[in-house]
Amino acid sequence: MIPRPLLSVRGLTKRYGQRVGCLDIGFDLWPGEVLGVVGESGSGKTTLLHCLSGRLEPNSGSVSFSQRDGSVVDLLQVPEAARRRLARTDWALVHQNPRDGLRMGVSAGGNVGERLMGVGARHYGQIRGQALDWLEQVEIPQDRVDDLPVEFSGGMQQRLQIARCLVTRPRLVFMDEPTGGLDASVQARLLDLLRSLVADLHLSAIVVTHDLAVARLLAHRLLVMKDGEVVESGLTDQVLDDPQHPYSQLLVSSVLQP
Amino acid sequence: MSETGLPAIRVRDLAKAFTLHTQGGVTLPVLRRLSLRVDAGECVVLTDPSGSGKSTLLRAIYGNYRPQSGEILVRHGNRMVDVVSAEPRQILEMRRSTMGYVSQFLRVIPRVPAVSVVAEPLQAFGVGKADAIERARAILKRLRIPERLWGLSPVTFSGGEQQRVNVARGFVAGHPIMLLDEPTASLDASSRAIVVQMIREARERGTALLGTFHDADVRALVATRSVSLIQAEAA
Repeated sequence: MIPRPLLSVRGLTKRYGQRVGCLDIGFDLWPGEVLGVVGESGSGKTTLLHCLSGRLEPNSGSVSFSQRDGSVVDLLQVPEAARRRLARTDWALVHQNPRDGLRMGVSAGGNVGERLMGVGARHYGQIRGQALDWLEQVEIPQDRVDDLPVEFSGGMQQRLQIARCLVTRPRLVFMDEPTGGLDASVQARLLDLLRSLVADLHLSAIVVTHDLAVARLLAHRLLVMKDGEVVESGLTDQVLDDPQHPYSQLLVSSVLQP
Repeated sequence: MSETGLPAIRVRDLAKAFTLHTQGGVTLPVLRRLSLRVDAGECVVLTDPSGSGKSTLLRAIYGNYRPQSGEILVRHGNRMVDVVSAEPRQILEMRRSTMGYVSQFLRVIPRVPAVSVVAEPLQAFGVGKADAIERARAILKRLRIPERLWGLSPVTFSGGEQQRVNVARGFVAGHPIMLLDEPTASLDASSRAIVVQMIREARERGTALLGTFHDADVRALVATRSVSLIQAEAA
């Protein structure tokens, strides 16, 4: 099979009335590639992520997705039911706030198992076994499997959300500020975990972050967004070490060194 | 020269300037119409004083800096690929299997132990985890990093220890092209001698090396040829 991008985005535009959310965005995401989207608040990076993950309807453009059977669908054209099925089987979305991605009234094991049941798993023992295995992978002690997420620390909740997202082995993961709101030490642990999971599972991911250090660690490639447009793109270390656009230079030079 | 006659690196008419938009748009030209060739089995040493663009050239070849014009052809497998116009994923692929790079400083990631830092390029290259760890341990041992440090993140290591981890990471995968930016700068004499020996062994295996070494003794021990960027640009 000729290798082709997992996701091909062309001319993606979203307007909020007169205001531009994102304008004429185009890029390819290849299997195993992690794309970072950076820019400050209001630059359109979250709008872009929501348009891609189906939570917002863009005004124009196309988003071609390569399915497991090799066929390509335009996510903006497929019927809602098909899009929902893909969202269960092929994608996952890691929210910045774990409360948005977890069911807080369901046990940790239940949170992970539920996603498996969503794709057809029915055998209780196997579901529980996989849930336990994933808790271990995200460094949550197995004896916490029956506890509710509300009893977890913020870092643990975020790791649980990641387990819930990855248990169904999605091919594409969207992450919205995955380390936002966490303490530095908790952030380091989570980043290290994400880095190894992405590499081990050969995941493709789109990571939206305003934190350039996070982008450097996780992303192979960056898009720099300003006022809804991509002003620069390239290899992550190239964009960060030799930024070309005035705005990218400003972003990089504004980071405080601890 | 390699069997196929292809050079390892061929730089043609390379120009690189930095425009500092946050500082009044000042433009600093660093490389102007530079041409250079490195073949397999050579260790070419750049001899210019600091500030003349040696690191800039190494970083441009590695795809870390973006030149304005010219070509950087790098032998990748049995064809020449132009780094200047290559797609990011192509450059990453070249870094995995073709080009190694040792900088002056290790970029430390919290929580990742030294042995994993060193094993990572091997694993990226497709070597199994157990094998990669074993080879990482061997090279850490050769560079005399005490075994009790292998499982710790290099965050707390001394400068010299961090630099030896950096050298280990750079050399572990045996890339056919090695770019060396002051790899021996912060090392003591005995560590320097080990690195010199590693460079000479790489050269004998047919690796193409291009580097900068401020220490004249090291230069004399590793170089098969010296090049001045200033003179190369004038030619």
